[in-house]
This record gives sequence, C-alpha cells and structure tokens, in this order.
Amino acid sequence: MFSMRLFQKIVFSFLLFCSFSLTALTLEQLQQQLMMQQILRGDFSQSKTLQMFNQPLLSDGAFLLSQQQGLIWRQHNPFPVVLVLAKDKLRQQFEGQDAAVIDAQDNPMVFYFSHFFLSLFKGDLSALESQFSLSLTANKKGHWRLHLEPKQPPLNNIFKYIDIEGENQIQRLTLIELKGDSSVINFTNVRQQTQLSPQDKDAFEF
Amino acid sequence: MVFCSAVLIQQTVFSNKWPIETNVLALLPENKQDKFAQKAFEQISDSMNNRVVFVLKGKNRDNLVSAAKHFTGRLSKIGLFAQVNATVSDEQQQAWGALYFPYRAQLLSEASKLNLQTNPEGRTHHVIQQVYNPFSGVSGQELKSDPFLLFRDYLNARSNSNNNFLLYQNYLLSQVDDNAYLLIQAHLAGDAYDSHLQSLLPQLQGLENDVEQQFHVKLLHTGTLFYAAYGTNSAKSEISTIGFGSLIGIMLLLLLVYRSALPLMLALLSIGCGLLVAFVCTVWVFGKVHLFSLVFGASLIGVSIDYAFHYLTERLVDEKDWHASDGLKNIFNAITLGLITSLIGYLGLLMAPFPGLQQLSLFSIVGLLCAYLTVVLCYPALAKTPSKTKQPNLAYFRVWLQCWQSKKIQVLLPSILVVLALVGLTEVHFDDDIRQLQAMPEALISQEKTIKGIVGVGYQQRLLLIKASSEELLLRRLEQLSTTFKQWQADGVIQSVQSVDQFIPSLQTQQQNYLQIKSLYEHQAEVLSEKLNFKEMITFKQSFKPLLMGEYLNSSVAKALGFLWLGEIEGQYATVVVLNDIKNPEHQALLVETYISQQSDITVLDKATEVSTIFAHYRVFIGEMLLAVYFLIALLLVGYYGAKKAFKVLLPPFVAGLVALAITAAFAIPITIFNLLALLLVLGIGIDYTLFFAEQKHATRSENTLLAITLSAITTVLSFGLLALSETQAIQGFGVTVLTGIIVAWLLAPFAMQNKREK
Repeated sequence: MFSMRLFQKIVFSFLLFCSFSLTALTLEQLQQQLMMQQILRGDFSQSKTLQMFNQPLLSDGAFLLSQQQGLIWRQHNPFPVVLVLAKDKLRQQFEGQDAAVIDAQDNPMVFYFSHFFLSLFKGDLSALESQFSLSLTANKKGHWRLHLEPKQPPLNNIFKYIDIEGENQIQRLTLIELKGDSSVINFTNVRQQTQLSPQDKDAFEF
Repeated sequence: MVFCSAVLIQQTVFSNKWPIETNVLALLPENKQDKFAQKAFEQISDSMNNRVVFVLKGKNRDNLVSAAKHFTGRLSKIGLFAQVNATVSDEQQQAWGALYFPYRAQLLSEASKLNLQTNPEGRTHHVIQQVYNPFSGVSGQELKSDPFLLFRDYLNARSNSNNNFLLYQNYLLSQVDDNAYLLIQAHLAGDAYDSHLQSLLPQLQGLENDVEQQFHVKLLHTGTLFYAAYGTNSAKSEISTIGFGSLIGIMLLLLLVYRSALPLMLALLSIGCGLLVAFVCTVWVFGKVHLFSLVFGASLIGVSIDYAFHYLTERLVDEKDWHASDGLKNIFNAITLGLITSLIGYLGLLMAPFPGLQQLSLFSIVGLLCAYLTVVLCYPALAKTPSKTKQPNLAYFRVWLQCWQSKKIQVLLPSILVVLALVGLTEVHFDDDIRQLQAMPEALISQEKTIKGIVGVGYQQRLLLIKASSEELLLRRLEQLSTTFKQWQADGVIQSVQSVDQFIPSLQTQQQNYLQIKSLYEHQAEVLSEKLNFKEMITFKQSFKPLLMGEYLNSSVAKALGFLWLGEIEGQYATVVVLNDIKNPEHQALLVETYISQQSDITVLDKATEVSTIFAHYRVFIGEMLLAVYFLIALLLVGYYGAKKAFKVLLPPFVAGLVALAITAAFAIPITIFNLLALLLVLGIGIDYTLFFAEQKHATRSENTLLAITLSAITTVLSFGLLALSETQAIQGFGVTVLTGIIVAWLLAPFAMQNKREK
C-alpha cells in the first residue's frame, strides 16, 4: 500500500544566483568557474513587481554562499530575518523569535527544492539542463547572460523564463512569471572569501 | 476412456491453459456471513495481489536512474506486466492540486486550523514574510488565487503524511543513510496465480541479474506473484516426485514379482484410467483442479493399484489352474467391500461445504471407482492366459502368518501399539494456521520486509472495516477515529495509518473550515491588503461547494488508495482503514486490540485468522466425519460379518490411525485438517488389507493375500514417504501420518485372519 501522493503542483519557485567569471563563454566553462568559487559573499536588493501591488515590494540585505555548507540569506529591510539553506535543512529566524527548522525527512518537497538549489550553487548546470533549456550569450565587454526557459511542470506553469546576468561577478537575477509578474534581485559588492567567519559557521550549525 | 482423453485434450491443448488452480484461498468456502468483509477482501486483494514492487538500491542516484531506465524499458517487453510505473508523470504530480484547487475555501491543514483559531494575526505575518522570501516561491498567480497561502499548506500536509519519498528526475527515491532506493511499481497483465504469467518469471530473473551486474546495483522485488509462483513450483515438483516416485516403484515391484509384461500393462491401465477420468471429472464439475487436490490425488496411484494387485496375485499363484473369471470371483467380495468402505469415507468429504475437500473427494471417488471397474470389467478379458512366472518364495510370509496364530501375538502386539499410541497422543497439539499451507521462502520474506521498511508501510498491517449509514457519517466517524490513530502514531504505538478521511474531509469539517477561512478574511483581509499595498482590498468570493468522495475516486490520485473505500453495500457505507506496524511490546498491541474491540462499528479484517478459523472449523468437522465413517463402516461390517469378525476387521486400521497420529505428534508436527484426512486414507486402505484376510476362506491362501497387501503397502509407503519430504508443512504432516498409518495397518492386517480353530 504505497502512498503516491507526492509533489503536486506546489508553486515553488527558486532563485538562481551564482558568480561567474568573465571568460565563461560555454556552459562547460561556466560550470567550471562556478565549481571553483568556494565562498562568496555580497549584498542583495530584491524588487517584486506584481499586478496586485500598487508599487514594487522592495527588500535588501546580505548573503553568503559556501560550496560546502550552503547559503545564508540575511534580509535587513523591511524587516530583519535570517534564512539558512543547508544540505537537507532549511532554517528561518526572525529577530527576537525562535528559529523554525524544516527537516528534509519531514518535508521531502522542500528537500527536493533545497537539493536543487544547492546543486545550482555548486555549479551543477547539468542538473539544470533536465528542467530548463539553457542559452548563454556574452558580449565583448565581458557581460554575459544565461537564459533559462523551463521545460516541465511545475516550473513551466509559473515561469516564462529566468535570466542570470553578470560580468566579473553575478549582477542580476530576473524571474519572469507567465502573467507578467516579476522578481528582480540585484547583487552588489560580491567578493570571494577563503574562510567562513565564526558567526557564519555558527549559522550553519543547526 | 477415449472420451475422457478427448475432453482432456480439448481442455488443455486447445485452451492453452492448464485448468489448475494454485491460489490457496480457492480451497476455502467463501465468507458468506459478512458481505462487507467479503467485498473488502476482494477489493483489497485485487489491488494488492496484482501489484509488484521493485526497489533498486545503490549509492549513486544518477546510476540508479540509468539502471531504472534500462530495467523498465525491458520490463515491459517480457509481457508480465500490463503497466509499469517508474516515473511520476507531470500530470500525476499535479493531480492532487487539480482535485483540491476548486475547493480550497473548504480545506485546511491541521496546523493551519489550529493556527487560525489561536492566532489569526500570525497568518498575516506569515504571508508577508513568505512573499518577501525568495525561496518560498510565492508567485503573483498564487497570491491572487489564495492570498493567505492556505492551500499550499494543505497540499503540503497531504503529501507529507507518511511518505518517505522524494522525486528525483521524476523517479521516486528514498534515502536511508548512505543508500538511495528507487521505487518501481508494476501491475500484472493478469492474475498473480496465472500459470502463464508465472512461467515468465525466469525471464524477469534474467533481466534483474543483467541490471544488477551491468549497473552494480541491488534489485529487490516483492509481490504475491513471487510467492504464488514459488508455491506452484514446489507443488508441481512435489506432484511429479510423488507421481513418478510411486509409478517407478510400482513398475519395479510389478516386474520383480510378476516378471512379465502383462501385469505391468494391466496395472498401468487401471492407474491411468483412474487418474485420467478423475482429473477430467473434477475439471468438468469444478472448472479447475486445485494443486492440492492433485498432490493428494497423486497419492491415489498407491490406492487404486490395490485392486489390481489382488487380481494379479491370484493369477500368479494359480499358475496353470487359472481361470480369469474365477480369479475375479475369489477377490470380488473383498475388493467390492474395500471400495464401498473407501467410498463411504470420501462421500463424507463431498458433503463438506469446502471446495477443496469436495474436489479432493470427487477426485478420489471417481479415481477409485474407475480403477475398480477396470479390474472388474477389463481384467478378466485381458488376462485370460495363465501366468508363466514361477511363484515367488513365500516362506517368510508363512512364518509371519504362523506367528499370528498365537493368541499372545494377537493380544500383545495391538495392545503394545495402543499403549504407545496413547502415550504419543498426549503430545498432540492442533494448529490451524493457514501459513502452513504456503511454502514461505526466507529470501522472499526478507525482501518483502526490506521493501516495506523503505516504503514505510511496515510489515505487519492491521485492516479495520468501518461501517456507517451514510457517506457523511462514515467520514465523520473516520475523522473521530483518526484523532485516536494519530495519537497512537505520535506515541509510537503504530507506524502510520491510511484512511480515506485523509483525502476527503467530511462535509461537516468542510463547513467548519469554510467558516474559519471566511472569518480570517473578515478580520485580516484589510490588514494584509494594507501591509502589502494591494491595489484592491482582497475579498472572500468563494461559495461553498461540497467536495464528495466520488470526486476523489474519479481522480487519478485514487489509484493509490481509492480501493480502501468500499462504498454502498446494502444501504450501508463501508471503508477500510489500514494501521501499519502495530508495535510490540504486548501492552501496546493490547491497547490497540482493546480499543478496537470496544468500537461496535469496527470489524478487524484478518484473512489469515479468518482462514485459520475456517480450518479449525473443518478440522473439527473432519474429526466428527471420521468418527461417523468408522461408525458406519462398523455397522456395515457387523451386519455383514457379525460383531466378532467386524471387530477383527476394524481394529487394525483403528490402531493404525491412533499410532499414526501419535507418531506425527511425536515428530512435533502440529495436527491439522490434513492429518485427519490422512487418517481417513489410513482407514480406507487399512480396511482393504483386513478385508482381504477376512474374506480369505482358505488359510493356505493367506500368503497370497499377504503378498498382495505387502505389494500395495510398499507402493503406498513409497508415494507417501516421498510426500513426507515436502517443503509445505501441511503436506509433510500428511505424508508422515499416512506413512506410519499404513505401516501399522500392514503390520496388524493378519489380525483379521480366521483362526485355524474357527475354520
């Protein structure tokens, strides 16, 4: 008696953000570059433009990506919150509140997406290829854009396309939904780092 | 005979299917008392028996996926399966959403329900936070259709209750420690007991080995098919062992003693006639012959040959004085009485409302009758010429029979045996567990356990049948029970529970949810609209539309567990709830049992226990039958011979029966219905032996009788000795009982001889 009720169309989207090097002209090269980035940190600003909203929803903060550990997303405005995405766990903590942890074993759906996220950050473009058709364009000034069109549900029921742009570093991530709603995340001040700070190390411990 | 052969050929060759039934349950009477239980079993076993589950185990997920692709691609070509489900299609992935979305204003997860009651403001905060969170994936579309994001929580809760799997490249994958397990389900192209499908298993095995070697993965499988095929194969090999074993034994004996081709041909003729006509008649009456009837039926070879032995022995010892019709006259009374006593036993079985026993008895009655008729009608015509073989040396027999003239032996030997038997009988214990009938190979059981562990359903399942007078009341009752079951789950008493109320809430609950969601909009819509700066304030527009069971059953998602819903039966609605892995320690199991027994509308469905109860019932029935048969035969004999002689005829088979039972018990074999059937056979054969001695008018001819029954006993012992080697405990026990019973019956048979003084 096997329960098959799995993975319905939950409207999950995801965020792609990576850092690419200037010379990456092919997907293989891009992937290689990505794999070499061990630890990246920087600032982000997000703008959500939905038809329901009078004006775009703005937020900003800082992020840290570790090939080994995962991702830390520290939102500063409009309200502070810390999201930590580890290999098979997701933690969310508001200021002055207890952290909420979602475990992969209890929530395979989230695990599925977090796994997907992490393979993205590790530069595993081959995993992306099963879900998206990828096209890469680059100009002579070193600006490149990776265009991703979802091939299958649930993603193609939500997104028209996703663009990742960058030069030396990743600069912008654009997610365009089918009905024209969009999210744009701009990355600034992105830099490589050799070691995790004790504070970041602690953040991954949960 | 020609007609029978023609029918058999038509049945088997042209329909290209052996009319042989291998499902153990087909032996049993249908459960006519409880229509609900019957329907539940039919629906569940249809859905369970025709399913096969494969699990690929390995460290590397991508390698597992490649192996799965390779495997499923070739799996479909074997012709064993109508459908192979390895990947979850996009449509399947979205089916739950498609089913529930129109009713989202009536659906709330347990957590949301509680949350809305205690802290509706918290919901608004949660939504705002989710909208900002880039990982939550809230799209404009979703926010528009479900501004409080309640529907995603509902779907999530549905998909995450007892489910160990995640989707990896559309394959179902489970991770346990270092190993990944990929699940593939397949539906058989027919019945698990279909011999054609079972014959395709070697191809499947070959494919599995290929995949294991090529991809360095481990492939496990489970399903009724494998057990059924194993049972069929072992039963088939047992039939042929017994059949060929006793046939070869008989042929060797015949050649050794009669040293001529004619007796051999005659003997084979009566065996062949008996088996063929018996088989055809049984197929004709029942449509199918059960394998068990055949296994026991094969033992008929040893019985039906007896009539032939007596005739042929007459011919052998008469030498030149042989007159074919006189020979028949000498043994006619004895073999006719022997036939009648055997038929009395088998006719009793025919009256049992138990298809298995009816088949067995019909098979035996027809077989014996044919063998008898062959001897009576054909032998005199076919064996006109006297035997040219020299009489065998019967000196030992003479000595043995001489001993029996002593009063001491006549009293002592049976008495000693009776005392021994009574001691042994204290060891008797009864066991009606149906699992004795099914050979359960360890390898299959351990695979099943592993797979069930991975899938998370647990090895032990408890099925509960729950009834109510309407769909709505049944769902309400399930919801009420679910609170208890969930508490058990939380306490670790059970591993999980599967029930249709997990998919369709009662209308009562739907209305409560609807009001709760409406109230949330009334109090929080303005706050949320303001905080997220919506162009228009959100409003609650949905009207209530009942989500009914039919909607779920029509959806493709019902494929998995829809069979739990039995629907309407005679104005009542019924469903099955599955409790997985009721954990020992005892007191926890007791907690479950006690609770269930207190609920008047719950029936525990337990096929094994039910069947075992039926077995116990029929064990008692056969026991009573056996006594009745003894009584009837005693009456018959007293009427025919008078009390003293009747006692002499009946005592040896009776003692043989006691000893057989005692020895079986001494081997620590539990006594079942099959051992009692064996006693019936011991009576039937044993009384043949004594009847011949009793019918022997001239003491000098007793050697001939002893020769004939010795030959007959050797063949019977040969065939049942082989049966005692069976892997199936019930058959093994049957073999041991018959074996020992026949030996004792043979040993005591001269007891029925007339004393010289009485002559």
